[in-house]
Amino acid sequence: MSERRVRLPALGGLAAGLVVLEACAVLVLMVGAGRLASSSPGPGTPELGLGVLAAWGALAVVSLGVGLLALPRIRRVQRGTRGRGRLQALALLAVALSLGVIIQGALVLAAVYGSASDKVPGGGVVELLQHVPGPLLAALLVVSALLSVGCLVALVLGAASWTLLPARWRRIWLGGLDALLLTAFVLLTVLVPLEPLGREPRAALWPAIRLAVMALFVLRLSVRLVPKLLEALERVGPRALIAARQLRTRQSGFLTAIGGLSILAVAFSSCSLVTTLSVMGGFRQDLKRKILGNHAHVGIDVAHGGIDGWRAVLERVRADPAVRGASAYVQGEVMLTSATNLGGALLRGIETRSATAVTDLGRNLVHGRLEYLDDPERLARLSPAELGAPASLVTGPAGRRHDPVDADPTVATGLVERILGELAPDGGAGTLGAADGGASTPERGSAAVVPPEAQPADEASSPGGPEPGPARRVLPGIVVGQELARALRLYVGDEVDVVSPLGDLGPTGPVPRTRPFRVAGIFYTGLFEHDVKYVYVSLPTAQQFLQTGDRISGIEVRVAELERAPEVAERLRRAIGRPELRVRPWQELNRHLFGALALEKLAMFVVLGIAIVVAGFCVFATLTLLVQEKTREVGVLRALGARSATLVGIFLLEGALIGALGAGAGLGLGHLVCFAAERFGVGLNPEVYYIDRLPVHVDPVELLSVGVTSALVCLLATLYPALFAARLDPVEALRHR
Amino acid sequence: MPLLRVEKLRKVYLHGGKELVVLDDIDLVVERGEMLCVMGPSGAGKSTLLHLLGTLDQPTSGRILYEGRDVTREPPARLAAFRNATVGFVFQFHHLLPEFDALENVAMPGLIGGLPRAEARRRARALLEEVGLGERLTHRPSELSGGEQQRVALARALLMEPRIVLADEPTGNLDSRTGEAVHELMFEMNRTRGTTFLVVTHSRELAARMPRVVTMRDGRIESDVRRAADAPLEPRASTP
Ligand SMILES: Nc1ncnc2c1ncn2[C@@H]1O[C@H](COP(=O)(O)OP(=O)(O)OP(=O)(O)O)[C@@H](O)[C@H]1O
Ligand SMILES: [Mg+2]
Repeated sequence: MSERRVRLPALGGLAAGLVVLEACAVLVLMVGAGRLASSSPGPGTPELGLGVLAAWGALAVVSLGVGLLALPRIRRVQRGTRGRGRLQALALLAVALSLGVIIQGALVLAAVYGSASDKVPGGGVVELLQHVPGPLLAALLVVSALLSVGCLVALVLGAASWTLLPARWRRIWLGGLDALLLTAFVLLTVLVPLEPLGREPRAALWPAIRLAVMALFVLRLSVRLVPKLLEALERVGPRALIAARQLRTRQSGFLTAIGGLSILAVAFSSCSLVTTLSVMGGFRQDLKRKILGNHAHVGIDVAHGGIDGWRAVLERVRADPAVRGASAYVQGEVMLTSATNLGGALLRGIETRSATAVTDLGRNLVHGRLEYLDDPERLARLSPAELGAPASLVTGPAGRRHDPVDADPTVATGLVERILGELAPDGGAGTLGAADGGASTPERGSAAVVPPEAQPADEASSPGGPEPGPARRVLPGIVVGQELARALRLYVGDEVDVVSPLGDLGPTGPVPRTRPFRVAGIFYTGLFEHDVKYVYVSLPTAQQFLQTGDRISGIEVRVAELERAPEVAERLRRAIGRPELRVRPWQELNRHLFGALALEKLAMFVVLGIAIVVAGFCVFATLTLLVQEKTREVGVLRALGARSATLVGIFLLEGALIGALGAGAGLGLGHLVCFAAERFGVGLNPEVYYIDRLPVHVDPVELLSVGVTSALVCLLATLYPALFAARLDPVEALRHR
Repeated sequence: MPLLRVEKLRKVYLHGGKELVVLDDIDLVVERGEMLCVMGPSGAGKSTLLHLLGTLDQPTSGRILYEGRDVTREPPARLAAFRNATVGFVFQFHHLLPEFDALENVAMPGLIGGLPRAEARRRARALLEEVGLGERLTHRPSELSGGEQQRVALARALLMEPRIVLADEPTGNLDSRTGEAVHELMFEMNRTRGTTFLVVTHSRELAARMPRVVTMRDGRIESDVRRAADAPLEPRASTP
């Protein structure tokens, strides 16, 4: 056994491949480090650096162990065996390099944790990297890259020396590793929760480790279980016996490679499909939640005009046990003009009290209050704090957010801060709110406000005392969305003119009617469309402004169970008994949107399904080769009395097994990715996506359908080779060499 | 009724537009428990005849009757069952399944034929012990010598207790001493079980011991010689 040849060229190829991988890893680290050094730490960025570091460390430790193990083994290889000297030299080098990486990693870790004890989590890394001069940083990265390449060489060598170990030792080692993994798994499962411990990024570290160990454990378990599974399958019947045995025993090298490749292909395609569909599902669910949070579950309205006698209708609607709330509204298209800009909007007059039971508007307010709509006097006498001194900006929204998954509150804060900054280039932060709201707009805001560039002089002349005074006019309140507020540069307490196109009749024809309002609140729903389009006032104000009389545009209804909205709508239609009223559940109200989403998802399924089809081709090639290789055995089986159905069954089963293995691995991997993304959050740029974390929603039905699809595709890909095998002429097959 | 009756069996291959008559009006009758060998020069059509008798191939014309049942006109599924239950094959290059060990190889016809797993294995073990391979049950074909492989193949052919064993140069690949042992085994099986053997061979030694020798040439039966060879064979062969 000592003359077992170690094939160095093959090792070289493997090492080259790993080096490429490693280079990618280094690139990732460099990008990560660049981001750390330049920008503010986003969620999870320091952990990325630490994670890479930890991965390298683990690699180095494993390499060290393996290298140390390999050295005495190589020593025992007969002198003069080809490549022995090189192997030994490389192993020595590898051990040294692994040690180097471990020491380097330990130093970095010590520096990070040493400096970051009382700072923001992860701040240590930033601080450290900021203090390291650029060239040195680059040199550091290059050196660590070199070192880790050495590590990989050691690992490859270790893998090579693995075959030098006697089988008994290998078993003991594997058993030991398995036991270690098992204990780690059990300990982590008992001790560490899967939820991140807090909001700060570092809290996710241990749960992430637990997840990784769990994944490793499951992987190892399945690797151990697959042969057992095939063995169990062999007992089922002759077909299963032959199929499982053919898969289990080593075929010719090429066939093994292409077989493994097809399993990988199936796995990756189904994994990507699951992940993509889950992310799309996440976006859809997020959208659905936001839409249904801000719109009616059941909408009652008329095609044209308004609804008379609506109070009776409202009574009937509220009497239904499935209805959680109902609220009337008036709606009309208007234009908002501020000092700097103007924008179209949908004005909604709402019953302030009942509206909170129907939509999330009340909870979505990031500034101001909904009650101000009914209480214009209070709105006129707001304290400077409520008008938006920066202090209240920072603390305000964080306290009001109800859902941690929802968009990052700092987005809103940062936004308003930026707007304020633009308004006051001098940065008189403390007095800004009062100066802007009170002093500079004494009467009609739109007319009096000067462009920001000209403002500093103005401000200097009027030393703005922040006294809450009767300096403001009493105007009806209006609640606007954050995007509209940003476009019009509005803030709570500001005045804004609302223009209705259906105006009064003037001497030269219809003249648009204008009326000033005061901003009572700013809401953020996370739906861009909604945040830029909707403005809310109280119902009577709207009725008066839009001149609808006592009529309303419609009634919004919230139901207890979302999915039963259509039934409830049907019941309400009968209860109301007014055929001119349209009673529509949310599915119908948003039919186009959800229809488009479903179509998009289907398109994605088809596109990624093509990846599965390609994987299917791999399976096809594998099976064709397999049949080719097994031709003589097919002939023997025919001679022994196997029917063609049996032969078809054997090869179909083999294809199905390949498919099932691939799909199982792919689904597992995909689920893991989704699970991790869901638990630990993948940061998104909220400016682009209007949502700060990648939403992920795993639908079990989808998971199942992806699995079934890939299994089916594999089965179909197997069909032709299997039928071909069954059609082989037994005599020719027996002659086959 | 004889075990096997072959009437006017013809096999014609179309090769390059020309008709190639490989078997030309073969008539043959084989009784139960008989032991006969087929000889003849290479290309005489011996293997072709064997494949036709084993229903692995279809004749161009003529009939093959097993106990009166014409197997040339039966559907493939029934033929598969027929092969499994009635015919045992031994080939020159043993043709064992490489993924399975000796025991599993021998048990395979049983599994295909729907015997319970335990029963198939029990029979296989008994047969392997009978052919002297009780110690080699878990060896894969690659871990067996040529003679051992051929003994495993013989055991496999006998597992379903077939009426007839068709062997195509079973010892053609073995040295004469190892071949002799396999021949001995066939005679013994014929004696103890009464199984009919039809053996294609080039071996003069085997032919000399056979009670009946059929010689073929160019697709025809040249001679069919029965003789009272070694005494113990005859009485067995004639008992039903
Ligand atoms: N598929 C085929 N197409 C055309 N000719 C064939 C085919 N199969 C066999 N033959 C021909 O049939 C003839 C008989 O072949 P067969 O294998 O039966 O000979 P054999 O007697 O077994 O010879 P050997 O002793 O060498 O095994 C040969 O001449 C061969 O060329
Ligand atoms: Mg032949």
